[in-house]
Formats: sequence, C-alpha cells, structure tokens
Amino acid sequence: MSKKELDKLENLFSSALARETPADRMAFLDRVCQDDPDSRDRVMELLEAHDRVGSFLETPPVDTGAVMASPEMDEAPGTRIGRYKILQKLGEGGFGTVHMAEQEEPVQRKVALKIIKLGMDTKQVIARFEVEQQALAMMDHPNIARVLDAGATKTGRPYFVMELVKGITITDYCNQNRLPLRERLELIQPVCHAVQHAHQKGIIHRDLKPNNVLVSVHEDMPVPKVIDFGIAKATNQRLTEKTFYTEFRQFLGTPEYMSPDQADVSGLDMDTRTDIYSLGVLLYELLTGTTPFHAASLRETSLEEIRRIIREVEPPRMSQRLQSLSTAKEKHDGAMPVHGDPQTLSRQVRGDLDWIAMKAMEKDRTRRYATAKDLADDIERFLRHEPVQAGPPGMAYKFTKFVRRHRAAVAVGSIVVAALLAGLSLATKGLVESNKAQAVLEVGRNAAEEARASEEKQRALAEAKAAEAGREAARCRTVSRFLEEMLRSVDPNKIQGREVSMRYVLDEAVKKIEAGGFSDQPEAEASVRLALGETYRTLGLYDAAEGNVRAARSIWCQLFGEEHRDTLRADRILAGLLRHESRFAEAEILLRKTADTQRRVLGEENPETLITQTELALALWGPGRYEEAEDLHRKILEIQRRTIGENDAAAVKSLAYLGEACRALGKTDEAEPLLRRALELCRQVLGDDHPFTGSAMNNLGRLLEDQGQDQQAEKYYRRTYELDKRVLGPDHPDTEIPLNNLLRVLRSQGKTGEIRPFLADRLAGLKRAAERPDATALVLHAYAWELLHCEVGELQDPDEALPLVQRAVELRGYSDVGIVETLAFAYQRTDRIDMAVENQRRAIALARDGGPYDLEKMQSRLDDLLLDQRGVAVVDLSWQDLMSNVSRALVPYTTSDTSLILKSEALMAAERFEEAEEVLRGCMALRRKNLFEGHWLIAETTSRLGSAIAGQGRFDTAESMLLDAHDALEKNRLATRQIKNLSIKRIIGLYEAWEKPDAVSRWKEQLHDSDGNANGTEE
Amino acid sequence: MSDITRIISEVKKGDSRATDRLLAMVYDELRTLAARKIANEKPGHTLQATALVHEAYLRLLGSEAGGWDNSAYFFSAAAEAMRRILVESARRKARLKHGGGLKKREVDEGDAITLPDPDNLIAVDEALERLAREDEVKADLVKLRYFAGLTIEQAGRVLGISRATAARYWTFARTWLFNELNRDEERG
Repeated sequence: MSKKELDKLENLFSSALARETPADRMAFLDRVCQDDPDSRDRVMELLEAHDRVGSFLETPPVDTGAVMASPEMDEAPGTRIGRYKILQKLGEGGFGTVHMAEQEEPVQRKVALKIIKLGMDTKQVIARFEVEQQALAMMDHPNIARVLDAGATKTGRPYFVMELVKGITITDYCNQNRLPLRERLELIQPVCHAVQHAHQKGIIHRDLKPNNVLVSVHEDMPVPKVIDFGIAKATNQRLTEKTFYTEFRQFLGTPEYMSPDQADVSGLDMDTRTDIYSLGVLLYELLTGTTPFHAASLRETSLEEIRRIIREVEPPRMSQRLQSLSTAKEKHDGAMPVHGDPQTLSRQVRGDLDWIAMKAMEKDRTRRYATAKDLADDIERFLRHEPVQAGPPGMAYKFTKFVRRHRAAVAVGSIVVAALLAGLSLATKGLVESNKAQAVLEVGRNAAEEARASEEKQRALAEAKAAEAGREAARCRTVSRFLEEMLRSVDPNKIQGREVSMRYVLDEAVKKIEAGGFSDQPEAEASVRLALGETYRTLGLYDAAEGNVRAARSIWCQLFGEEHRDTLRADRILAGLLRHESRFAEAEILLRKTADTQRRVLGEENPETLITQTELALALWGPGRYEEAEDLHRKILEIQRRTIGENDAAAVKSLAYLGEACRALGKTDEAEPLLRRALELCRQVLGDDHPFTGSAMNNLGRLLEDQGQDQQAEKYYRRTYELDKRVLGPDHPDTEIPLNNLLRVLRSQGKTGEIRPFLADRLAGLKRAAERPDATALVLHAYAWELLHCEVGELQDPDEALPLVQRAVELRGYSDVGIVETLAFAYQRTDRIDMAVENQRRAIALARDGGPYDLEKMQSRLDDLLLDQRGVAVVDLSWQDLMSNVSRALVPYTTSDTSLILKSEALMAAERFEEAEEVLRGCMALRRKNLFEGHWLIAETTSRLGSAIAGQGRFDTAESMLLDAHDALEKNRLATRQIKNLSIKRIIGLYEAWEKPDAVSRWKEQLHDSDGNANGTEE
Repeated sequence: MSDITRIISEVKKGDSRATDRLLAMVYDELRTLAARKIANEKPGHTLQATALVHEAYLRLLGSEAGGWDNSAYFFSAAAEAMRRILVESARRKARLKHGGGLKKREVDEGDAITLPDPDNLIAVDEALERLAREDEVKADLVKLRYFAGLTIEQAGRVLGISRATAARYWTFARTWLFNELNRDEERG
C-alpha cells in the first residue's frame, strides 16, 4: 500500500466517522465505494476497530509522576511551618518525611510533623483530613497517638501534626528485647484495643504496620502506640484502576500489610475489617519474624501479581513458616525469629495461634474476626488456655475458599457458587451423614434381633459394618480428591487468560469422569455426577444436568436396585429437570411412581417423600392443574408443620407454593395472607438474598397485579429483579421472570419513561444469550422480536434483527409460524418488501395448518405488505390472487382498512358490486374513524365507492361521488399522480358504462394530459 | 550557541549526518538522565517517560530554545530516541521473559521507566514501522504523542499540520495500529 492509498483510506475513514450512526456510515461507504469494494471493506474493518480502540496509545508508556520529588528546602531544621518549627528529621517513609517539631502556641510542646511528598492534591488531602478531624478529635486512648493538626507548607505540600511518640517500632522493640512469645502476645493486645477504640469512633486506620505501631517504655512497662490514624484515609486516594498503578507504591509503601479488600481495585468499600487483616499480619510478623508474604518477593513482582497474591494466595501457616525457617536454606535470609528456636516456636504456635492469625487474615472479610476486640479476646483465651473461637478449616470451608479465590474467573452469582458448594458437600459430607443415619436406623430396627443373635453373628456383623465404613471412607476420599482436582483445574495460572466460566469447570469435570476417572469406584462417580447435575441445574443448564443425573441414577440402580433411596432421589431430581424443561407429563408420571415407592420404602412422612410430592404438585402447575396442586401442597404443609415445624425451609416453601396455587386459581383473598406470611418467613428462614425469597416477592407482586394494584406490584417486581440479577446473575433463566413482569406492569401503567433501562436489560440479556454459540432458534427469535418491536424506538435495530431471524430460520427450517412472520417483518423493516411478502405468505400457509394463530392479523399484515410492494395500484394483482383473497375473506375480518380495500378490489374484479360497496362502506367508516375528514384516503375511498355504485347502474349517485372525490384528490398535495389517475380512470369507466362518449374522451384527454404533465414537469 | 542548536541548524540546512548526530545526542542525554534517576531514586520508584523528555529538553535547549522551530527538531529526535530506548528495553525484557534463566543482568535504563507489557510494546513498535513505511507523517505523529507525550496540537506543530488534521490523523493512526495488532493476534 502506498501513501496515496493510505491517505485515501484515512479520508474515507474520517468522513465515515463523521457520520453519526452506523447505518449512515454504511450508506456513505456504499455510495462512495461503489466501484471499490476493497477500500470499503478496509474502512469497515477500521470502523469496527475504532469501536474497540478505547484509550489505546492515549497514555504514554509512563508510570508515576513522582520523578522530581527531591528533598525540599522547606524541610530544613529551623524552618517554620505554620505554628511549628522544625527541629530535626526523624525519618522518611513511603509517603513523606517525619520531623520532630516544636509547637509554640497555644501550648509549647514537641510534636511529630509529617510532610507528605509532592504529587498529591493538597487541597483534597486537607479536605479529606478535615472531614475526618472531628472524629479524630474524639479519639482518646492511651495506645493511640493523637493527630493534632493538618495544613499545607508554602510549597503546597500537605502536612500532619501528631503527638510525638518517643519509641521504636513494635517489631524492633520485640526483637531488641528478645521478648518471648507470651509477652509478644500481651503487647499486641493493647494494639487491638486501640484499633477497637478508633473503630468505635468510626475511624479506620487503613495502614497498620509495624512502622505505625511504636513502643515506648513507661515505668518499665512497654506501651505501644498506634500512630497515623486518619492520615491514610486523607492521603489515600481511592485505588481505582488508574490510580492503583501510579500511586500504589508511592503512598502505600509496603504491600505486605495490605488487605485483599484494599488490593482489590473493584472493592473500594473498605471497612474496619481491613484493619483486622493488618492486625493479623502484625501478629504473624511478631510471632514468626516474617510477614506472611516475603517482602522481597512482593517487591520483585508486578503490581498485578502483587494484587493477585494478596487476594488469592494463602500464606503458609505460622507454624509452617517457622518450620521452614529452621531449614538451612532460609537461614540466610536473616529473617530468623530471635525469641526462640524455630522448631520450638513452630510447636507453640501450631493449632490455636495458627487459626487465630488465619482467621484475622481471612481473604473474605466476612470470615475474619468481626472486631479487633474479638481478636484480642481470642488471644486472651489462648493465653488462658481456653478454647479459641478460631478453628481449623473443614472441607466445605476449603471449597468456599476456592470459589472465592476464583470468583473473578468463575463469573457467576453468589447463589450459584453456593449451589456448587451445596452440591459438593452433598457429594461428600452430606452423603456420608445420610448414609450413616440410615445405617443407624437400620441398626435400631434390627436391634431386637441382633440382641438375640449369637456373639459370633454379632462379630461378623460388626466386621461387615467396619468393612462398609472403610468402603465409605474410601469413596469419600475419592470424591474429594476428584473435586479438589476439578477445582484446581481452574487455577487462573493454568488457564492463561482464557475466559473461565462455571460451565467450563463443570464440563471439564464431566470430561474427566467420562475418560474413566472413577472406573473402579462407581459409588464415588454417582455422588460426583449428582453434585454436578445439581450445579448445572442451578445454572439453568438443564440438558447437561439431565445427562449427569441420569448417569448417577443408573449407577445407583445397578448397585442398589430400583428402590434404594439414592436411586429414588435421582429419579426425583430428574423429574424436576423435566419440569424445568416444561415436559410436565413425563415429570408427573415419574414423580408419581417415585413418590409411591418412597412412601412404601421410606414412609409417608419422610422428608424425601415430601420433597418428591412437592415436586409433583409443581409439575401439576405446568398444565394448569392448580386445584390438584393446591390439595397436595396443603397436605404436605400439614405434615411438615407437624413433623419439622413451620420454620423449616421446606415448610416455608410449601406455604409459598400453596399461596401461589391459590393465587393462580383466582382465590385472591385466600392467597394474600398466605403469600404475605410466606414472604415474611422466607426472609427470616432463608434470608433476604435467597432466590426463593425473591420468588416469594415476585408471587406477591403477581397477586397485587391481579388485584389491580400495579404500583404495589411494581415495587415487588423491582426488588425481585434486583435480587435475582445480583444473586442469580442476569443470564439466569429465572431472572427473566421478574424482569418480564416488571416490564408488563410498567407498560400497563403507561410508565414508558421508566421502561427504558429494563428494556435495555432485557435486550442485553437476550443479546448475551443470542451470542452464545449454542443459542437456540427461540432465543434468536426472541431477541430479534424485541429489536423489531420494543417500544423504545432507539433500542430497535432492524438491521441487527434480520441476520438473527435468518439464523433462527436456518436452525428451525421454515416450520415455526412466529419465526417466519418475524422474518417477514424484519425484511419489511429493512426495506426488502419482496422477501417480506414471500415470507409472510409462507407464515400464513403454515398457520393454516392449525395452531393458535390470528390468521386475520397475519393476513392483514400481508395485505399491508402487498400495498407497500405495489403501491396503491393493486389493479396489478392477478385475478387468481384476488380471488384467493376473497375466499380467505370468507373468514370475516375487519381489522385493517387496506385488507378491506383489497377485498373490495377482488369483489369488483368479480363484478360483485353490491358486496364491494358494502365492504367499501365498512372501510370508509373505519377510515373516517381513524383519519381526519380532509385526508386524501377518504376521498380515495369515496372514489372507489363511486365505482362500486356505478357498477350497480346507479350512475347519478356514482357520478357525483366520483367527481367530488376527484376534485378533492386533485386539490390534495399528498395524493400521488397515480392515485389521481386511478380516480380519473374510474370516472372514464363510469361514463363508458353510462354510454357518454363525449365525457369519456374529455376525461381521457385529462388522463393523457396529467400523465404528460407528470412526466414532463415533475411536479 | 550550544552544540544542540548548532546541530539543529545543520539539520535545517539538510545535513543528513546532522540528523543522526542530533538523534544520538538526545538519545545519550535521555539515557544519562534515566541512569542518574536510577542511581538517585529509591528502588521501586519509576520515571515518567515524557517527564524525562521534557527534562532533557530543558537541559539541552534550556534558555536558548531558539523558538519553536528548534523545539520541533528536538522533539522529533526525542520521540525517536525515547522510542528506541523503550523498545530496546522491552526487547531485553521480553528475551529474559521468554528465554528464561536467572542470569544477572546489568542495570537497564529502561528499568526506570515502567513499560506496558514488553511484548505489547514491541508489537506496537512493529506495527508502527509498517505504518511508517506507508505514511511517515502519521507514524511520526504517533511517536510524538506516544513516546514524547506531546499534545495533539504540539505534535501537529512539529509536523507542520493543522490541529484538526493532526486530530484526524491521530484517530486514524491509532485505529489503524490497533487493528494491525489485532490482526497480528488473529494470525497468532
């Protein structure tokens, strides 16, 4: 390519870019590049690139602007800053220098003066400090150094004045005095209390580290003091993506003490628990002599990596760290604890202290100590040899941790995560317990016989049980190993930037199973399969769920037979999936069979039996058999109230279902208290954020909507939608329900102004769904339909809709009336009328085969299209075509005036003038109703009507009508020449029939004349 | 008259060797400045490439900037020099990254300047070279903006084009390069 070509490209690109809409750009390019498709394609490519170019190259390859920070003249001893005189420099920190200074008034005292480095917005810093100052003034604690004042130096650098603490850092103090473990713990307790005090005043430190905890000695007692309270907040700009890189090192200095909440660029809402984390790190450092993450290794790596480490990497426990310190390799680090032999220390901290530090340093702040006092209390318990609050992690805990670590990668809502966890623990812990429980039951049942049995027999039984327990343990081990491996497979490091979805993780797991991961342990495979199935279901991936549940079922069936509880449970889950896929009849059969067996095998009131019955009742909802469902829900609820109580989750759900069934039956009065009570209980028992609480809200909304209280209903729908979106994620099939409800009530209330964001959500959701490679024709169609029909005009996009419907048709063939009709509409909207007509005809032909279609409407749409296609000169329609219209017209339809016109034309062509007149009068009435009197279409109808009357020989009447109509049309600027000529032709027709040759020739001249005019002068 | 203004006046007379000398001079100055920064600043501190360019400008042209005309020559040279420094540094880093090994390396001036992903910078530079082969003005515009941190207006003045044209070229060149990089990626 030469410069000339590139210039041409740039010219086209810039000109196209100057056009506002993509459509305008396309049109422009189509026009100017008619003969140069290559350039057109190149520019199109660039325009697409431009959409994504973002801020590419906008920022030079830079980092901090702190290059020029050099010691300033205004820091020299003797310099006066505000009311303070600098005496000597005490030290230099990450974000500035600290000096000892003298305050002269109102009191004379020595203070610490901290000058912040240049590069921060002084005004903002001081403003932030002032906001905090009131709170700071209320802090009064012996272990907190007070912040006294703040201001700006002459060169504009912010400074802070603090109580002067003559001490050394807590770590130095501990090491210099070789403090033993116990005294170190005793020293950190007042630090915790100081932090607690600040937290109670609403102040978060945000930068707790040894350098900010100084220890001075009073009367032989070490007194720790926390300094810099309120400063981090004032100087710490929010770590947005932008400022993180530029200011991270500069202002936060060492990342070793930074909490994951701080390191997370999205998590800007720091709270007191960020300090708890830092206290945990401090504890760790005091006890091991090292920070959880090596300072050196953190410094060597990229910022992105530091963030990842802080947020995701679990540091070694203190005992492990001490253990590894005792090996020769690390001795060279100079990080040896000085308060004892690492081996001994490791033994001392193992267990309780390990758990205490870990709990304080939890990645998930909700799992940390809630307050600094709790941490201090736990340390106190340890010192008193009482059991501590912190404890070792269990299996579920480890999984939670995993998922939390990968939450960014595993892009799903929290409830889905919860579901996976539920599924996983079901596969391990839950199953173990339920099997154990069953074993216990059986033992009880057989107790009498066993008592009578011989000693030998008992021993054999015990051995068998032991063997079974051994097998069970082996199964559990296999399951957990598999799950751990599966989880590890989504380690972001291994996936290398590929987008990881929960779906991917699950699919990989299934692959592994199918490759024979469990060939010798079918029981383990079944457990895992069921867990995966449940998780797929929660994600709304019903196909995949079904495959796995079926696999689990067939294993259990082979191992234990048709009537084993596991087989039965798999059956129930399977039926639930069928229900989700609207296969209600199949679901019902399976559920009845399963419930019968469970009643027989497990008993009438067994929770499993009841869940199956509930599932059965829900399956009856599908085909609208709410009465049967209501009875069943009532029966189940009664048993649940008696056996497990009203406050059990299962009973709460039954209550909600019962209410909804009543509502669906129209028993509004009965439903209301049920639904309200259900919602209340859901909140209490399941929590505000549980998706089931969401559906309870949604159902109450439905009830209110039924009662005509749209505004109230709207409130509940809104809340449900927000909840589902947050918890289930916008893609989940269940999230659509409240969204659609919300859209409906907004529409019915005429709140079109508010509809837009939700409509946009719906479109966005549909778009995401449509963009998936496995998008079904239904999804594509739904999206295209909204793009064509939604009421916010700007959100419509026929150009985007057309290819979507085309794909839907490719997938489905021309078999679905709705899709084919939408295809026709998409063609119409993109001005391809011929294709539109063809497809509308196709749709009508399909609809005639039966189905709930509104043939009239479809027909009138076709008529509109035909008019569009051929103009008003429908005379071109072949007689057959018209007749077929008439025969269809036997179905009386009146919806569209154009279809009436077509009908009249067919009747006219068939010389059934009376009928034509009648139809045209109907059309006239319709047009009069919808249009204003002077509209040209009304004159046009009059003209047609005149023709129909002339056909019946009532020439006088016809003449005046035709002439009046012609007059009106001639005067009307909107009536086209073609319309006017048609009206003349009708007049000619009249005079011909009336046998008035003079008039015929006179009007024929006019026709000729006007044609000539039209061609000659281009009116 | 300082060395640099003398060299610039030779460049203006059309002496192509002078162009090279000017580039070498600015290049050395930038490297020296960067090296000094590394020596004086604490580890972890990083420099701003554009700040460096401006510091070099003050040092080299200082009081006798000799009007915008001279500055234009300086910034053209500085953009090119900075590009070379950054790309060389990126290449070294990329070699280390891909070649592996923990061989101790010498202090690197580029180290003081935080780079985007070195691979990315190299790719940008390669695309920029392709652009330069086809249209030098647009490529120079990118160098002035991206490596020397000039504003669109300043860059336009250096290149002798209007602000509007510079803005248009910038949008185009940025998009073109972006598209090239994406194509590279697609090609794998």
